[in-house]
Amino acid sequence: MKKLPFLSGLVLLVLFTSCKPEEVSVADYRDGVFILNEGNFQSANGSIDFLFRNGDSLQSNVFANINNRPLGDVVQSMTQVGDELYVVVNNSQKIEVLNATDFTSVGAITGFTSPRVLQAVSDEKAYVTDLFSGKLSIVNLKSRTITGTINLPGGSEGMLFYNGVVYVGNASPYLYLLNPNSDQIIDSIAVAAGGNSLVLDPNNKIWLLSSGDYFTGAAGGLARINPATKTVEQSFDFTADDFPGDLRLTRDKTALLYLNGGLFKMGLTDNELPATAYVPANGRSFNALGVDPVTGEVFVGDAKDYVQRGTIFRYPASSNVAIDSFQTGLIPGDFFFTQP
Amino acid sequence: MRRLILPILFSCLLLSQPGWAQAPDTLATQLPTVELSTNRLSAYALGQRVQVWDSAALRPFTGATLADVLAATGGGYVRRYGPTGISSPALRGGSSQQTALVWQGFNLQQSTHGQVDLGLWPVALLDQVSLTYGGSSSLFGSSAMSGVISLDSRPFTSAVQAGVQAASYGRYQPWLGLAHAGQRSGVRVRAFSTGGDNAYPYRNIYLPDQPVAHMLHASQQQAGSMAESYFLPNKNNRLTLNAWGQNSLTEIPRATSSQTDRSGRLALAWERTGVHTRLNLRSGYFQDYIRYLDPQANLDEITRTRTWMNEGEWKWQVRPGHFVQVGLLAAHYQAVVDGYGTHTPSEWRQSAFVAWKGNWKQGRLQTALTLREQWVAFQHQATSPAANWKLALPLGFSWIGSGSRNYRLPTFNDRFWSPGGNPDLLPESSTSVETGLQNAWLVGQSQVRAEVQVYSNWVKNWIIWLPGPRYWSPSNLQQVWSRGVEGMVSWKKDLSHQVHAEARLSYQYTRAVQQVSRFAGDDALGKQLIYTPLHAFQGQFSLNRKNLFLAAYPRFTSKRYNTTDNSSALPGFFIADLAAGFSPTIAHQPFDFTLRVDNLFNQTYTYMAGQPMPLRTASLALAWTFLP
Repeated sequence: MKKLPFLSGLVLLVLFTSCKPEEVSVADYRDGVFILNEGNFQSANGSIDFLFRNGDSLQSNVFANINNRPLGDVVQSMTQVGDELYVVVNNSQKIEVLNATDFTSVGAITGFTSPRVLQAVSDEKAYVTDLFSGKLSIVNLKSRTITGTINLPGGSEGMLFYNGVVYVGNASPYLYLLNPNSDQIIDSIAVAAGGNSLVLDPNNKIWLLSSGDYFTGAAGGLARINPATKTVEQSFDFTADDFPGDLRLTRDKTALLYLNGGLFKMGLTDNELPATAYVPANGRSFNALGVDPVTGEVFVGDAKDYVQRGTIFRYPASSNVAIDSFQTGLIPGDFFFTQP
Repeated sequence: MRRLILPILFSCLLLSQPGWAQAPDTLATQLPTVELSTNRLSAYALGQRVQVWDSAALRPFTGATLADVLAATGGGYVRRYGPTGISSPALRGGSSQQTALVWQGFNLQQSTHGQVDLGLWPVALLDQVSLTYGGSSSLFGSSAMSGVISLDSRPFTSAVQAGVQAASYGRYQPWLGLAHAGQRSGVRVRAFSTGGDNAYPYRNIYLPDQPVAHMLHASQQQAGSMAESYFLPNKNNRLTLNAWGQNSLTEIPRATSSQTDRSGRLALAWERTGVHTRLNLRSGYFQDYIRYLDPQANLDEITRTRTWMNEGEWKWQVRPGHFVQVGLLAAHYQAVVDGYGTHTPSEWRQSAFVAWKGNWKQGRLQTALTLREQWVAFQHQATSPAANWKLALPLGFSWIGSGSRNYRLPTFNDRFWSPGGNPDLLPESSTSVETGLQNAWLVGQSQVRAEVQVYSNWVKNWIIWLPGPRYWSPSNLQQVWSRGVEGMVSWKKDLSHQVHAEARLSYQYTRAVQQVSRFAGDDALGKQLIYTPLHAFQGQFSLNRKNLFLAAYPRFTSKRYNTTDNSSALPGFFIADLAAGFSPTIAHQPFDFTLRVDNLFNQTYTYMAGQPMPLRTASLALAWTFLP
């Protein structure tokens, strides 16, 4: 009798291994949130998780699971152009190109030094900022090649394409204006050093958040820029002890959100920086911020000690009481929200 | 004396010259057996486990580095960022900064970052290496919390030796040694150079199909020399002067950055021996220069350190078998580091120790009590007591054990890095206990040795850098409990009057667990420390027949977590190296050929995430010795 379970197990094993594997349905990644986990420098352990809006289910490490290879490090940012997603992997010096529906790899753009953010200006052309090369790369999205470079000293970070002009945040105390037709820097606007993220408000004003200069100790700032006059209409100064980043606009476009240790919220018409955090850090290492344009929910990534899985805190559009939190990969650094 | 100084100065000038070195064995033999340096305090660590590599054990590693030796045969984990990257020891769950490295009695850990790079220490300049497991701050001072690596000089004879090693991946190392040993004075100069593009093969696991590639931008150019000299004015006095200079330029693989490491070390010692007393005075001056250059990131960071250590100790034989030893150390540390801003730390550190060793019951029981007090700028920092014992039991067994408190002072980087440095840090401290059994048997024609050791080590105020809103900053937040079991068994047998066989198996179980939650939501609590394998095994098998030898070094390292919450790990690996040697006499001249095959089974493995180690490689070394 003791042999019976073994024999039946054997039969089942033969049956299962003899059958043709059932077709696995391919997931559709067009309705949800990509969580970009940076991974450790030179450790190739960056990853991407996906949170489905429908049902809130989470798929971890989708790139590696779908494409059967590690993504690399440091996973920096994601941009969608047409039916393709472009994932900038900083230290791996590449941009992975993925099918926006099933997340399969369709190619890669290589040859960068330290890429940070991709900004498309058409279906065919994009610019890529770089931390160390002192140049912007001009990329042909169709051929997936770097077609040229534009000298721009200092590390460049976030970009915004508005009204035929690309605005480029830079480590220097200037916001640079780039003409995508001529590939020329056409102007610059004096701001606080370390411009890292930009948003466009409903009044067609550009807001630039600058973190300051780590090496010189120059303080960061927040600037409201009138693109029509190319002037700073209003600026707010941080202290040298601050390190603000990740400027976002709430879904109703009435307030700005940014990280500076904790999560801060500031109305577009406020005349001074908020004195207290909207969500205090309380010992957490907030490293990523995103606003879902579909639900309005605010996502905040806690990188903890940067050597363990991070935690995502999700807040409703109008409250600083978290809806929930869940574990993600190593060093959550950015979010990308699909728009079905 | 004047005649001695000149060769030493000459050897120092060789720093920038390529092509000089010496093999580890042949210049350290018989004849005037003048001990240039001894691991003077190890006699007091009699309750601790000590592993020794003599010149014979080092010979198969000709052309390699201390990192290669310890990684292949040592009972600890070496955190290697590739074969030429930083390689630092991690023993018994401790950090790389918690193992001291001692040369001529001086701890060579950098005052800035508190580490040593074992990859920069060529076997060509080493006579003997000993590794003491466990804490022994009372003997060796700050940082000796998990272990002590001691580089010991051995007596040498007059000889000339030259050799060259070449590896299959484009690395080469010539060396030369000159030694003159007289009854009253002697000098030995050894020098080496390393070069080549070092394009070792590795498997790129991050690309589809995991292709084999050759590492780019991985060269290491090194040149160095060491001079040792002694002078015996009479039978009671001995004067030694040792100098060591080295220059390395190491490319960082798969990047555009490189690092220059330049060191100059000078140690002067005087020993006066009386009827029942011995006085030692020594002074060491150490200068290090590190330049990290990354043109891509526009980084050019320079670190300069100067250390001047002065130590005096007096040993008194109270009665036969009973010794008292007292010592004072005053050391001045100075660092000029780009990362410190305008701050240039410069300070004196003082320590005093007293040790007592006794033999009881005709030597069946040995005991040692030691105590060290540490000050920085005359501000008391730590007290480190220790008790060691060794008791002979029936059937040849010995029971050994020790209990100690150990410490590590914060580094200059911890205190002064700008921004983030924390000048208010406390020293790390640990309480360690360990005990074990040892035995040696004669079984027929075989010699068998076995030992087993268990230990427990509680570390508090462990310094850890954690992120803040703007920058990272160190604090004393980490607390760790490490415990484990270590076992070793060795076997030697003369299979015939010409054939000798030897085997050595060792195993370590290391459980090192985070004891406190360091911040909100810390998932590291109760988890194994990163890069600390739970299980490690090393084997050494050798067969000698007349002038031939064959040796194999299999080893297994279990998985190592690389995240503090243990959510991911590097896979365990089993690899083996093979070495074969032939020592013919050609035209009345002795030669040594050593062939070495590393990673015989062509395994893909890493010590640190993303830092691949070479696939199977081979190297051949040829050495010639002239004995006048």
